[in-house]
Amino acid sequence: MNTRYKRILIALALLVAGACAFLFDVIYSEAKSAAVEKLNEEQMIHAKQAAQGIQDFFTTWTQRLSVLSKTDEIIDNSASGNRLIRFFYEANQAQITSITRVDERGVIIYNFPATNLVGTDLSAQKHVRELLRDRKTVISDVFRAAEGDDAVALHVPVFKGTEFKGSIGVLIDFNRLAKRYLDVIKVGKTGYAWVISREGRILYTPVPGLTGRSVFEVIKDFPSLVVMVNGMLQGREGSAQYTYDRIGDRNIGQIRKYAVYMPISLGNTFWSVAVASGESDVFSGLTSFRNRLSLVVTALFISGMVFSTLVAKAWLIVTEEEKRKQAEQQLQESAERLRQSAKAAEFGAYHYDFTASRAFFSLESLAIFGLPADATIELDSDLVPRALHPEDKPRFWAHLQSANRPAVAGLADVECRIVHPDGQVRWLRARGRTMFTGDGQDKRPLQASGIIQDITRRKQEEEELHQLRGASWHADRVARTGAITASLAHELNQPLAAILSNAQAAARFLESPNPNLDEIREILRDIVLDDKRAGVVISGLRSMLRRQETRREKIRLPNVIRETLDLLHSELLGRHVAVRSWCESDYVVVGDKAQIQQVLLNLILNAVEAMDNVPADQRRVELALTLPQAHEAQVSVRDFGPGITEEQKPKLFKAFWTSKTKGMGIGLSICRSIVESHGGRIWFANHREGGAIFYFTVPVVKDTPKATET
Amino acid sequence: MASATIFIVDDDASVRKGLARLMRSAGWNAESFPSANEFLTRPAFTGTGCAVLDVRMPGITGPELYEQMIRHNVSLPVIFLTGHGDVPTSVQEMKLGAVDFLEKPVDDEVLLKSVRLALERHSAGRAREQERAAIRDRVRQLTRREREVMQYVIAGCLNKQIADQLGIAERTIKVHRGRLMHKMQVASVAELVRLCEIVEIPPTGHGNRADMAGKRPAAPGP
Repeated sequence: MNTRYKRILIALALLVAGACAFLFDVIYSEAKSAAVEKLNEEQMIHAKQAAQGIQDFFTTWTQRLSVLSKTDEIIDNSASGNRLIRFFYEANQAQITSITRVDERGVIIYNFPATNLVGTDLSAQKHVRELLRDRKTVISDVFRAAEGDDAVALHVPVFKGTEFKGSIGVLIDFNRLAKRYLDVIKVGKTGYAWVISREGRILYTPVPGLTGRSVFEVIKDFPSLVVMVNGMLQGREGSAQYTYDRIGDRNIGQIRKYAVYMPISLGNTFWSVAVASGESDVFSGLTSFRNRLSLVVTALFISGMVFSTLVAKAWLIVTEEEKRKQAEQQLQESAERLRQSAKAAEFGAYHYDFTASRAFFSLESLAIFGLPADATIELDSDLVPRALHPEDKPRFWAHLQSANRPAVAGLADVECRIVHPDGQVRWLRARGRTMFTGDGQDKRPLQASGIIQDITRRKQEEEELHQLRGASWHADRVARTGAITASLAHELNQPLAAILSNAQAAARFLESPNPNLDEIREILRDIVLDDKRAGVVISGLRSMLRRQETRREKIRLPNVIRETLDLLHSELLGRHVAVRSWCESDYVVVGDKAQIQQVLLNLILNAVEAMDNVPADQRRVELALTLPQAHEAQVSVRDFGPGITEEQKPKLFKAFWTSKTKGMGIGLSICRSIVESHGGRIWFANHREGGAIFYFTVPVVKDTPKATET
Repeated sequence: MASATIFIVDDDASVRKGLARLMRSAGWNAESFPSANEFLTRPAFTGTGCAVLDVRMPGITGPELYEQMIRHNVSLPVIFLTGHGDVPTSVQEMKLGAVDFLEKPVDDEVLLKSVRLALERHSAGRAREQERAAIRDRVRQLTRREREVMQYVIAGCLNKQIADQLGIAERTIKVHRGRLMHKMQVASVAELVRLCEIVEIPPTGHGNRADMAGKRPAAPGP
């Protein structure tokens, strides 16, 4: 929730900031253009003033010179004319540096004050050439005059009637002109005027070093300037802005200027004057405006943020509320479903609070504990201790105690018996988990919860299955033993026959006059031994036939093997089967002796039956007891019969399948159940030199001679 | 007489012991063997005796051992003991000439009776054998001619007839006859006939004689 909130906040902030910035920009731009316009207006006034002034100046002098040009004295360049010229000069010294009378060839015929210049040929000068050609008023470019100052020449043509008689001209000190009309132009802090001629010569600029140069050369790197200058050179008036960053080779940083320009028409030619000011002049006026604007915008931003934050929060709260409602509903639905399935599956829930030492049981638990539907057990902490079967009490509590240790993650899973109020014994399974609080040493149980289930039926079925299994194993044992009754009878016969012969011999010995009592004693001893021998056969038979619970006791495998072979002795003899057995060592296992014997009986009899069609002298069964792996003993029974065919292999251990003409075919499947219930495995293979081998393993225990063994 | 020896062959030690004791208690010698092979490798026995064989043994069974004994001309009579029943085998064995076939556990009277019978047979057989051997000895003493003559004599032929048959003088026949009667140690022709029967010397005759009682030669015909 928090991160989402932050993200929304950030998004809003960006949005509002963006809006404010945009607003600021728009307003400020507006203000700026207004300021620029105002500036340009001001500058235009200056430009116009300057242009007008200069134009008037030249117009006035053109008029004066026109008047002079019409006087005869001037036309004839007489002495009085010269005196007139002198008068004129002295009257107007402030404005002009000299007056010159030039003849029709362009030669000076009189000059004041520089009278020595008479005779100088000026026809080479551009404006003079123009005058001689066009015979009209000319104004020259600004040039370095003979006297050494920047000057502009104004010549008016002189006619005697219609005859061209040269001109009368004045040399105007440009600097004075500039000073009068241009220098005075100061706009703000940086604004000034500059003037270029029609040909693009820089006539005037306060920037040092540029006067007299070609403007194109100076501005060639600055396209914005080029644009403006082109406009100027076309005699237009207007406004522009330009930027430049160098003057000559000196880098002065980016400068932006706002300028206006207008033409100064001077007779046959014109100049163009530009008045330009730097940005700072524009901005100076704007600074305070900008500051005020910033304040306003900031205030706007803050209030915008506050407002949108509140809106966002409100929206979030609403959606969270909706989600919560939805979740609650889902929770209720799932709780209901859970209750339904609990009912269907017949389990109850419990919850135990360690801090308050209180237990809580769900209603379904009532049925499990055999209590009536109206009993109150929801907070009955004694419920479990009361209901537990006395025999299972210690085990139950021990399990819970160990389950409540933090080390085992608090998992409990225990099956035990409880007693219903009406005395009925049922089986219960409790599964749950304990939750802990605190860390490390302080970790202690906080609460435990889980489910309880009545598993009586399952337990009964397990018991039944167990019984059935035992019964079927017994049946197989009996059947197998029954199959060898004839041989067992023979086994019994031997000791009985021996006893009879011995006893009757003893009776005869006693009839003689001097019976040898030692011999009699020996006979009696042998009779006892033979009787015991018979007894062993009987007890072996009995143990195979007895129906009893599976035992778990220590058994010496070599003994079991030997006893089984003894039992089968006559059978093997009758079938002409030779037996070879080899026990690697005296391995001890834990198990049921009769059942292990049953497995051996089955395997050996199978081996014998497999060799029914083998010639009598080739019938052999080989038994071996080894320890291929440290923890389990392995018994192998090998026959020299035809081996196991491919199609028999998968069916071998299946119940009710047999290749024999009699028998139920459950022998091997029972062998497998028995072996596996002892913790071992049973398998078979075909020996590569013929016949089949059956193997089974049983886990060994360390042999402790003092323990009870069979 | 020297005590007879009973040979006991049974793979079960207790049974062997018991049987041996029983035999000894009846006054005979007893020798027991755990298997047929051991019995067969025992040096030849010349006295009177018999064998008590267990039927069911590993390796060579009782009946198989008996067959081997017959093949090797071991003349001991045999009594079979079985713990099983084994009826089909018993018929076989009886045909082969076993004295008896008894079931274990066997009562002493029953067994001893069979043993006595067997011993009698054995000694009778031995006696007969001895007699036969003696007769053969005597026969070996005869010359060829004497033997020839003897065969005619036991056929019931007169001296003249024998003379005719052999193409020698009657007088010579008489001489032969006298000598062979002496060598054979008999006083009468009947005795001679008996002796020859014992050693299976056949009579030679052309069968026309009425006094060849019961010895008409088979007439060819239908």
